[in-house]
Amino acid sequence: MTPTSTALGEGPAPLVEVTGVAFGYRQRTVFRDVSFAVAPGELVALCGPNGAGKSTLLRLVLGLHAPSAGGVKLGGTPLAALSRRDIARRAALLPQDAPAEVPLTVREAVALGRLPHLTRFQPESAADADAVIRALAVTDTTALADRPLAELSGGERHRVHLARALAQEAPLLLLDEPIAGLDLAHQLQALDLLRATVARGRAAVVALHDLSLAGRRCDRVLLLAGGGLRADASPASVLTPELIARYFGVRADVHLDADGRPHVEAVEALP
Amino acid sequence: MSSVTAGPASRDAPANRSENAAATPVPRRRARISVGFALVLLAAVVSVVVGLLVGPAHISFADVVGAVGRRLGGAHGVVSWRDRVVIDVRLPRVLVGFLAGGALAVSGAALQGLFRNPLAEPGVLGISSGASLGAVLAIYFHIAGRAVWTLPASAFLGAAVVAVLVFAIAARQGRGRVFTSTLLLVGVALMALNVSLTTFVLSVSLASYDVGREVMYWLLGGLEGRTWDHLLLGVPAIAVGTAVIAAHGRDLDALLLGEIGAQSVGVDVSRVRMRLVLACALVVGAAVAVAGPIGFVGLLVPHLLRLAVGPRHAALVPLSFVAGGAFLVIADVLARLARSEMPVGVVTAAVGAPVFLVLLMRRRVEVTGP
Repeated sequence: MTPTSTALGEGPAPLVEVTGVAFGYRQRTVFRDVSFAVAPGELVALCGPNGAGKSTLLRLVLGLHAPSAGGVKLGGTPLAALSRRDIARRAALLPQDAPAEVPLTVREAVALGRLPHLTRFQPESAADADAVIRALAVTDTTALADRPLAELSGGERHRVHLARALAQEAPLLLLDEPIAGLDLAHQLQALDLLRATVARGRAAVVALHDLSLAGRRCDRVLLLAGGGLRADASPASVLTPELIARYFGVRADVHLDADGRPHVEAVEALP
Repeated sequence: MSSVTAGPASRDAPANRSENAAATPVPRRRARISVGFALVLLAAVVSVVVGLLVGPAHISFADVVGAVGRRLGGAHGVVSWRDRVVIDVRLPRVLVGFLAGGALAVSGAALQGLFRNPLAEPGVLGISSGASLGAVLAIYFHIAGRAVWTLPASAFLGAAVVAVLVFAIAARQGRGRVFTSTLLLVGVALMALNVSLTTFVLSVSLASYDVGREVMYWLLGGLEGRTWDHLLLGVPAIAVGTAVIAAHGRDLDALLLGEIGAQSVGVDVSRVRMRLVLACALVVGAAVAVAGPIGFVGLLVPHLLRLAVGPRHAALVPLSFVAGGAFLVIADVLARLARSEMPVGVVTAAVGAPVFLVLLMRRRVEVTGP
């Protein structure tokens, strides 16, 4: 399961490689020529204004949209050569908008994350049960385990869906706005959790609107704006007042802390 | 699931892990599913026995046991009229009813899960109305009279044609991709078309009293005159379709998370949807072909079971089959008791709808109560 290095001295092989990808609806191009790779241990923020195609890019990595050009490899294998089940064992997606009216209990919903590891009639093993228990514990949802999902608040439900993605135990996590709607404590907990998760040889690509959290907590920032990937570098070199003004239309103050991590404070929308 | 053996060997470290694993299942729901299976199987046995006992000819339980025993024992020679009634009249009627009721309930459970729409039932894809049109055409063109199997075969053909049309139109509209909402809309449109054509055939067939009566009689739905041939015609399609649906239980569970959620946990949604719709077409087409158009079973039974045992399809699908079968057999008994030759569809809705409403209201009280 763990990816092995392909060549000597190159470090671990990337969990995902996106090469020259373009996507559009009919006439309108959303983005093109997007290339990046993510290696084990990385926590990568995907930032950009509304409509830049962040959700689309995450879905494209999972093969839910077909790119009009370019290709995606998961764990070194092109998407076309992988079944949906293979893909689910290599990457787990937390979608931005999961349905609210799910008639399952929290535990049942999280257990669905084990689906890619089970054959059709195979009962859940103790290992599956353990993965579910761990995912519930780290997302602070153990106390909700036997409650119906439909009775929870929006933020609680969001944590349950995060738990489902974690229970999948895929090496790559693709999270679309995982902290939107969470209270402050749970936002920080979620990012700590992702940090701890990638430290165990996994990686996460997280679409984030909060540039300050992206700057302080992530290793790299992908800036998707204006029809393409405008930057792919350390937070300090991407989250500068100039780039934020150009691509987000916002005047921002940026301070670097003692570790050289940027703190971003949006001041006003530019005309 | 994981049984913890309390031996001296399991006293150290691994015990902790086993405890965790043992705590996983939702105990109440597990217990409810076990009780549900027991009750539904009991209902199935009772319904079949009662179905064999009730009718114009007086037949006792001993007669039934004797008749079945003699038939299974391969007894030859003179067959008594009681044996004939049990073996050639009531048994096929009960079994065809059971098979059709089970098929309709299973497809209802699958379609409600697939479309994530509580109103979905075997009629939504236009398949059952297609089967009706096929049957009515067979009667009108005097094909039905030629052999016992021609009417069900025509009905099944009608269902198959509509299923293919629904998919072809939906795929064309989506430029090769089939969307759930498109399938539903195309199904509803074709259902309207089928109903109008069926009504047209009925109206022109009324020119002849015999043909008109036969068409009308079939459309009312009922299990009179079902034979072992009907059963043998229905069993293969319903067995295959039900097996396909049962094999996709976990995929249906995952679809409760929405299409993207299901895909993210590894469900190939478009493939699963294609397989399930075809399996439902097979099952519904066969059920309508052998038992006639019978409403409400596919809507009622899965919903009642969800209230009792929860939404997971591993239990819901098999329970739906057995409960749907028992429900239709009991409805047929009530129809026979109420009035000879009363259509069973009248009873399924007349009994089913109030029961459904009462349970729905009681459930609401439970959910919002203190």
